[in-house]
Amino acid sequence: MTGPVLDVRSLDTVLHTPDGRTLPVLRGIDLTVGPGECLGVVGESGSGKSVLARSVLGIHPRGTRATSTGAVLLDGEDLLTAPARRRAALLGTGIAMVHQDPMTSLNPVVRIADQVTEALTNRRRLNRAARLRTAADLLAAVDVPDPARRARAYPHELSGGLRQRVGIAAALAGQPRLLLADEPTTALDVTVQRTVLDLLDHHRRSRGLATLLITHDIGLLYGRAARIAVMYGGRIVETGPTEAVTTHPAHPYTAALLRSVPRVTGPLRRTLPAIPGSPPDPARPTAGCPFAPRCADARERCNTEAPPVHRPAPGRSVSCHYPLGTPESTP
Amino acid sequence: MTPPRRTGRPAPRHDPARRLLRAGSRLARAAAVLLVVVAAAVWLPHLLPGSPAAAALGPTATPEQIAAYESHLGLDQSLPTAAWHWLGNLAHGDLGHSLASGRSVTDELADRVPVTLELFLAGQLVALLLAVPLALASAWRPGGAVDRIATAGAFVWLAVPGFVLGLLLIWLAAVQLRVLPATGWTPFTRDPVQNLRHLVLPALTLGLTEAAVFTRTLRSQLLETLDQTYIAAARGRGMGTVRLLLRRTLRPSSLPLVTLVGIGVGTSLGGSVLVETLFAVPGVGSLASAAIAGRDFPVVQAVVVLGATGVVTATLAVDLLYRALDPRIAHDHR
Amino acid sequence: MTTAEPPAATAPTQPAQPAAPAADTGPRPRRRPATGTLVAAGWLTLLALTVLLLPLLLPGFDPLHGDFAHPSAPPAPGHWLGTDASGRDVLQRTVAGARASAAVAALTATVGLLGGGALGLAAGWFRGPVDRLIGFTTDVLMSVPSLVLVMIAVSLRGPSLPVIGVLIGLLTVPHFTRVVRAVVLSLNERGFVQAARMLGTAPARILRREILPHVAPAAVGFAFTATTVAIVAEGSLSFLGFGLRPPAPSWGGIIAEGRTNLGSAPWISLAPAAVLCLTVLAVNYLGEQLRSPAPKGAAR
Repeated sequence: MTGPVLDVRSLDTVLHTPDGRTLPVLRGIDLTVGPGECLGVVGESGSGKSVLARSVLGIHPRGTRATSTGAVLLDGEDLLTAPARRRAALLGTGIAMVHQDPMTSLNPVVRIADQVTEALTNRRRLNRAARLRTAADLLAAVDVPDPARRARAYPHELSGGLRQRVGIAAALAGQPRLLLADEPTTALDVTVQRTVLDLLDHHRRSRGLATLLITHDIGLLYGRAARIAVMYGGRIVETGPTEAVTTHPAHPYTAALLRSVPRVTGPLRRTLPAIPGSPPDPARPTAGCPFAPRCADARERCNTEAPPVHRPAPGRSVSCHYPLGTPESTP
Repeated sequence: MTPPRRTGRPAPRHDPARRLLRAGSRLARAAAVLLVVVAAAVWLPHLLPGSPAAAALGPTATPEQIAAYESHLGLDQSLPTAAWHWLGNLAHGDLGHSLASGRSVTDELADRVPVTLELFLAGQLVALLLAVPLALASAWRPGGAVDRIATAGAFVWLAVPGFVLGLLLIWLAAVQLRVLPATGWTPFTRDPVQNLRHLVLPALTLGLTEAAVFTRTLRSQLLETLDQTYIAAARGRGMGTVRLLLRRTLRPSSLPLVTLVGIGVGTSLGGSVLVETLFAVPGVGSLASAAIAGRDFPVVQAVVVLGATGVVTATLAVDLLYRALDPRIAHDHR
Repeated sequence: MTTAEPPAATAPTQPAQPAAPAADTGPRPRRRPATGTLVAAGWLTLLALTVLLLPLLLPGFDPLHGDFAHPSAPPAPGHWLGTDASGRDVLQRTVAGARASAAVAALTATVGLLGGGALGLAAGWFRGPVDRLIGFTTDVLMSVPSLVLVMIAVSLRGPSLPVIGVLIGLLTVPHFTRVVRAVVLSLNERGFVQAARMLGTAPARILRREILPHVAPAAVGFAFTATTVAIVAEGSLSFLGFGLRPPAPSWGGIIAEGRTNLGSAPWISLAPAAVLCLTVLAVNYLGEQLRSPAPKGAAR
């Protein structure tokens, strides 16, 4: 199958609040993920990265009414215009999601085996023995020790790291084409983070799984995501190969983000460089660039005009009036 | 509220020795409560202004008759002695004899407890059959038509006292429509069909009010559960609505309901007094009512202690059950 | 079946789940009252006014007077709620019965608030053995079915409004205690009480200035529930024959009397029943609004 597994074009998502307002939380999202490829999506809280994952999956938290426009193509099929039944059929089998908090993403009164096999049992009957067997296999594939026993256990009997593996196993059970990993390691100890990410990597390569790895920690993406997309204020401000973007960022926000990552090597810094200000309020969208209020290089135009999308190099794009490293950036 | 844990170690297994000790102390406390109730029950006849013996035997009683009556009831003993005797008799299954009918209280209770039990169970069944679907439908679409009607309905319903509800039902079913008997009772063993016909109205009276309480409680718990990530995760794996609700949402939400049913066991005696008197059902409640009016002390004492035992046992059981289920739900419902 | 049990008390005795409304009860912003609140308050006002003024305004107001010319007459001008089997005016009897219910409710709320408030404060403030003793006593009180208890008391001491009112009040004390205690305990954890204690502030002052303002709304909110419990309990008692002796009118008694004529003259029972239900509904509604001013029917 050639062509990207996931192709998002001009995706806008709007939330409808209970008191009748509409909040634009995603604007003009364009991204693609190919088979076996990992695209890292990085942004701070409020950047819309989780909403992005949920808009692709099609399931928003209860009480949230969201409308998405644009196109979300899974293997060429537009999910946004597909009938609800078709979308439901794809849940777990075409697209699957790994959730952030392993402590709350498993039902406490249901056995691991029953939850891990849900992507399968939602479509056909599996008797108890078959469920346990299948679950044990799925758990073994994610390196859960003593999988047969763990399959019969309840979530509270497992540690956080193990639970997250269970979450991954459950996501992989339906053999999806696309995996959405929404901050899969944020709630885990640092030592466990790496093994979980390695696990995701392994399965991505062995199954040719397209992966969208969402995180606020840009450091996680080195060596794991071939390409990276930086989000801010509901928009993608920069995309490109991870190596290139992180060594030569084109967007001021990306640069500031990279600067704020504390490094073990390098000169000792007394204060952590932070980005002054706070993320934009989706209730008050601006006509200009969302980052302008906090951007050190912002100019007049940035506040009034929406920035265009430049393509400074093949595979790279940046949404800025004055991208770094280009002649326009020098005043 | 404890902060969310980072990678947690698995939930600590409770030290069995400590658990035993805690259960033991709770049992001891329950026993102490019951002891106080027994003492109070035994002391009841003394509450009567004047001599209970004189009241029972009338103005023509001789002093010997009064003394005999008093010693029969144990009224001449001190409270601890009387309580001790009462408990001793209880150990032999002797609860005294009814002053009204002369029958042994144990026999009377043996006849009537199954009836009250049947009524109670039927009431709880009605309540659950009504509350579960209503709560599910309400919680699935909060603010929707079903939800608003159910919530408002439950609220209004709770304002209708039991005896008014019973009267209404009698008026509707027995007087207006004439489909069901208004009062009376046939034992199940004698004629099941008639028994069920007599059961409908009292069970509805008990159950409809309970249903309102159940619905409110269950709905709020369901709403909380439905917000959890694990429900979104299950949906994300393609689970259909019905299966999601019945098999993944109900169980984590049912703890408060279990508590309610358990407490209901305890409070059923009070409710049964009204319903049984209203519908002329020969259960423990109507026995209590008649005995209290007739100052049939042995019966009253037995019923009071029985009722208290029911409440204490039910509360204990619910509490232990809650703790047993607790570790699984530990991190969520705090 | 919750006849004499407050519907709010649904937790096991152990303080794993306090049955209290939200402990965070600071001053509430003033809002224009919603339609429902106005209707409920309006009904109660109407009832109160009728109870107080009708005997004065209506010549020949006599709930015991039987108009034997018109027994069991359906509602019509002259007898707005009809007459009962003895020809007595149902409206007048209902109004008279309201006085009994109001008296019982007032007594219950007073006893409950004072007794339960004091015990709850003591339990939450002193904790330790005092708390355990109070907890034990409330456990004992709550373990005996309350309706039965009041019935016994009435049977032994005779039916009188004070006895009934005080006793029902005593039975609400455990629940008040739990509510108040829960608030006090949660306040203890909020630091400013600890701070005041550490500064050596006199306990009475702490109680008055820091604790009472938080306890009062919760307790008053529960008082509404206690009021409806009292009304229903009084009704149930008189219905069973353990309330005020007829012919003294009380709601439960009137309803019970009309039972035999349910087929032919349903208004005898149903009219006072409707008044009772509407009153309970109004009090419940107001109590609910006091606790959480959020609009009903919202998604949670």
